[in-house]
Amino acid sequence: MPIELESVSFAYKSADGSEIQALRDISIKIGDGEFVGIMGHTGCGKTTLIQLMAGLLTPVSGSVLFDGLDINMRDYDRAKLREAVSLVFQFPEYQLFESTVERDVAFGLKHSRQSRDEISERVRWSLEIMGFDFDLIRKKSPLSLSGGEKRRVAIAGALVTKPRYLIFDEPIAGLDQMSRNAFLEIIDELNREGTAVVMVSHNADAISEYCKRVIIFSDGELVTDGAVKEVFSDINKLEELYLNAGTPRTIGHMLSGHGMEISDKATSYDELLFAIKSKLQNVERTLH
Amino acid sequence: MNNTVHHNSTVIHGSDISFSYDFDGQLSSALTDIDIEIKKGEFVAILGQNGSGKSTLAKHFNALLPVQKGKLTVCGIDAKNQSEIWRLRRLCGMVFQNPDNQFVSSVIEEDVAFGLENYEVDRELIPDMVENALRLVGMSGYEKRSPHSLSGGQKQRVALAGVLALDPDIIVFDEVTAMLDPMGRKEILEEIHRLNKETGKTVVMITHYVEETVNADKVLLLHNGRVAGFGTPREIFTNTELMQRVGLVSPVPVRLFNDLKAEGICLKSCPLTNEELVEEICRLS
Repeated sequence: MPIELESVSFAYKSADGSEIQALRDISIKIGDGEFVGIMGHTGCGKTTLIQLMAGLLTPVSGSVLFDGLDINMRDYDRAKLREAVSLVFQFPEYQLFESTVERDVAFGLKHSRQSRDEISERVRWSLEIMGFDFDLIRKKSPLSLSGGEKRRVAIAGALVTKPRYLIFDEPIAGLDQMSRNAFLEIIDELNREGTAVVMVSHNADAISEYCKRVIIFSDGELVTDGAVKEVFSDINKLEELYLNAGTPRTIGHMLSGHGMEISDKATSYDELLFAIKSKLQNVERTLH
Repeated sequence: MNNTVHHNSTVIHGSDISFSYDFDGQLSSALTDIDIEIKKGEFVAILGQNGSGKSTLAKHFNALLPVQKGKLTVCGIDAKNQSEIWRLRRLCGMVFQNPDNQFVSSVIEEDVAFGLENYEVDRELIPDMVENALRLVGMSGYEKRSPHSLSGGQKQRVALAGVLALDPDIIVFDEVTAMLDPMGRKEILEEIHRLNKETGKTVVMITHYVEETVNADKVLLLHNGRVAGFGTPREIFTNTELMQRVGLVSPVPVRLFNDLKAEGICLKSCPLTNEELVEEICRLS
């Protein structure tokens, strides 16, 4: 049961009353279990898009459907959307506010009808998924944690409702590469267990390694929507949009330019390594 | 001759620096026995994981944090000397991570002038100094605009202009690219390198992006609050054992060099950049 945007447009009002068009006539369908990356420059409308998906903004025209129902209709039960779709904002570590980690993570279940024990189990589950020892972390103040830990607690807070859709705005910005990889592995695991993931990111390397589909925006318009392999193989088109195709694909493209034909489908590190290896081993065989 | 001597002089010299944060009486050690020496005009990157102590160390250089233990001299000034603190801060400027948190005015030229006004610089001189600083970062013509109307990269350049206006000898950049998109990152990084080359100002750049440090003169590697390595980027990144121990991932060209070697394919020398890698591979094929 997908999230569907049908011809959605959105505009912000500026201080002098004029309108700034943020998204123009966007139609997208994102299905259960997908892993979608969203790319584009600052100001292209990425954040606006995911806020529309989560029902935090209402489109100026067009409609947003969840499980086939228009979420902006007056009689729509928003609780269903809130439970099934979790949005994690950029730098979520700045949004922790409770006195303990346990209370902060449990906040999303405050109005659920679950018992205290059920809530506690959920909180334990989501903190453990994010790599914490529940008993060690539960009573700590969120403010005493390091930046990376705070971010993981904030994400645990988004997981606690066991959403079917997890939407992230720049989840790995500001993380070092080990933390980046650790985070992406966790998300990948959740995705394999069935959670749909939508990830806005500037990090082409992360999108090319983990996402299966990528959607690119430019100046409020959807310019590309396709399988990661297809989109990243067309490096010229990405360059036209001033986006990069990730380090492995970029190196492969440079090598091809120097006469070593590397497949344009080699978009991940392992694929590039394999391609270079086979080329160089062939060279050696010809020499001997 | 004089110039050469000048160029080799040490501008930051720290020995045995240790620092702990105090959380309601609970001490948490952030730095342990740090020795550091940075020479005039050098571009030094301080690299380490989140939480390795990079920012804590950087905040010692302009006395935003007090030296609790050990000794630190910056531009010949003892960082413990409270009476010299404002002179030290003028000689060692700092640009921070969040471009939105660094503005005090809604007009760019006023924002850049803020530091100068605080140092009671002659009012008549300020407009020229502001103009010069904005020119140095390529932001001439933006004097009357609001900082909030700028892109992330432009905001960081304006924040840098505010520091440059005071004509410091050293500029410390504390993860200034962390919140920028790839274009903004590239833009500010090129700006910092250009500034270092053209003005000879000493640059200390804090980052956890390994790729951003490949063009630095030196890399200081921090791990759990201790110095784990200090050397040229090539010395540091080709030391696989060291990189693994501190939990950092080498740049892709270095990883490819190592992984190809494991397969019996030896490139002549270890590349740091994509360009070097392509050159090395083409040499073999």
